[in-house]
Amino acid sequence: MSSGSSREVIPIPADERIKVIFKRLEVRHDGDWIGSGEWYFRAWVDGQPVGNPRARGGEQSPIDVRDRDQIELDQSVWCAEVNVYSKTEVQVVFEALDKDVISDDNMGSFRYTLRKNAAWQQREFRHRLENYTLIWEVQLSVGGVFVRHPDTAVFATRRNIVGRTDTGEVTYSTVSGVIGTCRLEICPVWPVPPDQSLPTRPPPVGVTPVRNGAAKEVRPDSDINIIPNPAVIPLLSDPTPVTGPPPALPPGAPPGATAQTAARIEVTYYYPDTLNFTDDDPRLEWEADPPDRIGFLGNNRGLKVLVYGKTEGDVLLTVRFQGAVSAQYRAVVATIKQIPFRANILNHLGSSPRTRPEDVPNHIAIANRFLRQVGLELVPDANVQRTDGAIETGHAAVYRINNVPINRTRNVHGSHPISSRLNHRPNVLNIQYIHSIQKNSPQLLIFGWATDRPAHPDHPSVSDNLIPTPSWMAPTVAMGGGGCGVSPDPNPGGPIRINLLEASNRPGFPNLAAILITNDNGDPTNQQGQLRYGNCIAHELGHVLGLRHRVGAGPDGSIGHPPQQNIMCQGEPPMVRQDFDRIQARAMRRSPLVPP
Amino acid sequence: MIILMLKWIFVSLLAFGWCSVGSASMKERKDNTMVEKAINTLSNSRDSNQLYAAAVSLLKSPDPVDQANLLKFLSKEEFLSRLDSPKDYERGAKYLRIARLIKEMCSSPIPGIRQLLVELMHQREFIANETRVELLIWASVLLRPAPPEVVKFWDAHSRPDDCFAALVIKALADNGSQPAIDLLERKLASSDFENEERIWWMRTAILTHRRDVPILKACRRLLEKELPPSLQLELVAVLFDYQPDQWHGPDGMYPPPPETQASEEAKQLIQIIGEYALAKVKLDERLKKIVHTKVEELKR
Repeated sequence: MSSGSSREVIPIPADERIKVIFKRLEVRHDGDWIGSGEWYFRAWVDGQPVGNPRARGGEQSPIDVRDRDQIELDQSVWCAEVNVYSKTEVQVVFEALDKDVISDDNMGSFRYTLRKNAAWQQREFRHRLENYTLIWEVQLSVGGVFVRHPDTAVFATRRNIVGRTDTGEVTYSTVSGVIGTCRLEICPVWPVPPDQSLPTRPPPVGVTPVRNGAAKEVRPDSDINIIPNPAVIPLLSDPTPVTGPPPALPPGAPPGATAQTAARIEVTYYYPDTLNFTDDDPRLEWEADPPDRIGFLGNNRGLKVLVYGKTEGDVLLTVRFQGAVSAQYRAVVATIKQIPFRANILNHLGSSPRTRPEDVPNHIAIANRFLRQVGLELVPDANVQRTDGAIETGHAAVYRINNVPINRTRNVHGSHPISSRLNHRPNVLNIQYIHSIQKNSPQLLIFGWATDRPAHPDHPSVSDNLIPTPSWMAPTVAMGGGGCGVSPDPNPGGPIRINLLEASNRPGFPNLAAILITNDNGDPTNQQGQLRYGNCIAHELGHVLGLRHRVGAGPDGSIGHPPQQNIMCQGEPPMVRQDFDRIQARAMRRSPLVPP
Repeated sequence: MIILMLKWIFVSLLAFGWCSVGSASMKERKDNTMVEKAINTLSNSRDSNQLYAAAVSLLKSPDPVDQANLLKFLSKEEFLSRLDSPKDYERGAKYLRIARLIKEMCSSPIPGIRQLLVELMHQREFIANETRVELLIWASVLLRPAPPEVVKFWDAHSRPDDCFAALVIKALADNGSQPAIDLLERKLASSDFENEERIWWMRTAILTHRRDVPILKACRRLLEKELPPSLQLELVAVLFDYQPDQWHGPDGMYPPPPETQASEEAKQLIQIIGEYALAKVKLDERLKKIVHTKVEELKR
């Protein structure tokens, strides 16, 4: 297969086989003056003999032949498969002989050369010789199947190397010999940032790319795995078999993987669109390194796969396009960890939070759909002890405190506001719904505030030295410079490092973790408002667990990428910021608020 | 009764000013019917957008009588609740028509319009609503030098346990005129407020203006005479150090001004305050080093 004038190829295994089938002969002269002839055949494909001497038509089992007979050959015997990966031509030789007493008569032989630069010529051939016509066929293997494939089917693929640089593309050739270039990406940031924020890719020349990566409308009843390409693949038990009773899980085992709980890993970009890849496309095959770290729910083919963790640790997922490595995705397999929360609604007549107790579970449900990416889940605090005049609401871990002084709920301020510790419990996330936080202008909206944070054991920073880098960030000069490890990247760089927040604890409350959530999030009862509240809770929890802003005030020291799509980007709307990345997951999960 | 009299005096003064311009101004008033229509709308309409448009048309009039008419409406809850419904108030200040009107007043080039803001500060029905009080506090930053009525308004809305004190204190520092700074100094010195509250004011209002000469002068006086030792330490920290994670959390809402903005007079004051702090205030080692470094830098 030609892969372009100056391009070399990486020798990787690929399914590039052709099959030569000798199908039948149409006899004109049987070769004997009297009676019938006794014909047998010999054939060679790529220098190797074809057929079997004992099979019908073989030297030891000649066929009785008369003029104008049609001889059907056993195609399972009179055929040969050749791996053409490293070949430029294949010789096909056939001869028919008439058995005779003294010496066998050659009834005609032919020789033909199949060539790579002619795309191996998938078709049926008719070769007319003096005594017979031979009908034979060349088939190409696509997806391991030899049939007559459509002209547009992809026969062969190669990862491209120009000079010593991997271009990040795959060159492919179709059955009819058309050569094209394909690129696939699995962006770890969801929603996928605009192209100008992504590593430079080879431009798709004259072809149209296909994109997948729009923000998700997260609702309280969305599947928990709604955000694709998470940083953490959850550790789950094997799924229930299709037939038979579900296996009994041992005590403490994680729940079984389902389509609603396994991680969704999706190709986010490819070209050309003419390849028409489907969600379960057999041409795209996924594998994991190490292989036993994850399992695939359903098959491991297509643009989208479902995976679940089997053992904890890093995992590299690779998708191959008919054998050629096309894209990679790195994640962490880890257990889902639960953080207890309690919510307090701080009311003052005329200046109350808009949130009602029944709204809180919806906000938490949405926050959990964002937190699933980092393997965390907020669960109601089982301890129902109350202080500060809090009253139960009928919703687990949700309390009201009525008639608080107005400055405990309106224009709340202070380095450690008293509002944050009303009816709190140590070592849980205390979510205090208030009217508002002090601001300097009516134009300003302040949705939330992480007021009390435990000390992070890794402060002042955490790092990740694997590629592709988290969020495909390029290391800064201070981190050693270089690229993110997404081809083409001649210089994959040093580790990515992010700075963490200092602890912030008020005297006498060493284990208080608290966030304030305000009315600026809007109507807590409708879909848009719920999304804002849930997204805000996830953002503020990120701060409590040590994260700084990715972009905004007090940034985390990375390159500020992605510009808007990370949940820790300050002030971005929830239909834009939906992502946590791998290094953030590592940091968040190490916070003392997260149970070991 | 007193309020009514004040209002009458205000309207009379406005009317006098208008008359003194002469009859030419009156002739320039191109569209009497437009004004009448606006007043009619303000009196009767229940359409909030119409009310807003009518109010803006009066605001844009250079005629003090029109402004006085508008003030009459803005002083009544009945009108204000037609302009913005309770549901609008629930959505927040950003979305209120009254907020947009106040913004118009702040940016208006017409003489006398800002006086409307001052008048509103003493309209009982207007300031019965917390959100409207907040709007006035934010707007008051522009009233320089702050007239006595504004100082009175600030003072009345910065009492212990109300919900406006921190807004007012920030507005005082942002206003920066001497009456505002004087009130700020009094509030910071007042033991009616908890230390935690006053520390927050330092970490916001003082920090964001820590190279302004009037603020530095007030800080010097506070440091030398009026603050208890624990607050002295905090004030020195705010003037010389910056700990956003500890003071404000992750959102960085209150950055200090660039050091390059400091005038020569400000630098001299910083040096004096620094030397005083090193000599008289019990600083921890870290802060002592920071103050010492800054003082040495200024000496050079």
